[in-house]
Amino acid sequence: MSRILPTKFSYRPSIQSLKEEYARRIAFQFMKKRREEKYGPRVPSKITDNSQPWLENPNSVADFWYISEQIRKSTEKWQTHFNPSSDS
Amino acid sequence: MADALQSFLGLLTSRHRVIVIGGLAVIAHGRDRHTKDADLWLEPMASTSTWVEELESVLADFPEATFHRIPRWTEVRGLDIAEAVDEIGMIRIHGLGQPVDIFRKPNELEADAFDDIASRCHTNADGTLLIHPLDLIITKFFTGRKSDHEDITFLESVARKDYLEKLPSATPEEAEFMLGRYAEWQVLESALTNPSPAVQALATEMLKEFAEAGDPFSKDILEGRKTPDRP
Repeated sequence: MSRILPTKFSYRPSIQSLKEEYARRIAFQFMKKRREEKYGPRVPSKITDNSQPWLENPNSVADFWYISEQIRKSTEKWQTHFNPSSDS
Repeated sequence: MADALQSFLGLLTSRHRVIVIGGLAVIAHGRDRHTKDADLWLEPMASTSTWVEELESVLADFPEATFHRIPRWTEVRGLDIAEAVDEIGMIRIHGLGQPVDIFRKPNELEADAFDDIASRCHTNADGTLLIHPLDLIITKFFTGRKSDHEDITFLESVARKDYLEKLPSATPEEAEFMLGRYAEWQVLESALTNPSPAVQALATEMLKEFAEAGDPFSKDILEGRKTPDRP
């Protein structure tokens, strides 16, 4: 038993979730190896990160709410775009 | 944000400590998601009745504001407000532009934990306090909601990033405090790089405990195997 005992403010990921993550990684390695055997080494993508923050350095409830509203509007816009209703 | 909510927050934070929790806090920590309400933890004060009186006093400047409780966000007035707060730990306010849920006792946290939680908060530019990601996880841990599970996964990554930066150079006391709050194989692996034998011993001890419980990553580290790469 560890000398560090959990308190009411402690948090540990579950062992089950770690086992699932381990299994995902093993499956990924297996798939990667099989693909490389068949198609050769993968060419790394030149795209590193093309995302932009909704707001630089948010630091107030007004900023957090602004981000929430932008995400809500964007989600609604794209849901409407990809799932047009039958009468539109 | 509606001017009413901004003015309300200005007044409230000039008198009391207010911790941002819930979805807004998750957004503040960097997750792209939206929320339908603002969850705020107002310091609990001496009693529920004092707490409600203070809230009513601040809201006196907002004639549109009304109090509501679950179920179905029924409007409540007078003594029923304190009764609802005692029963469910929070009250909703309508009339400030968007729903605002004011908590006296958030999920899984006792009112008397406020000072402890507040001591770990970041202070926002508007005077509100932002709850620490690990404390925010605790409020979401037992809800069983899918969105909270996703929030927890995100918040874990925020906490992990901080731990991976700090643990390699933490003092034994700092490491003990940090690992008492949060530990898993990745942060323990980084603690093993700390030059302090005491920190390394602590990390090894916890890795053994996790490996015995069935964690395959901890087992790999202890047996000198490379852990499988992330997809």
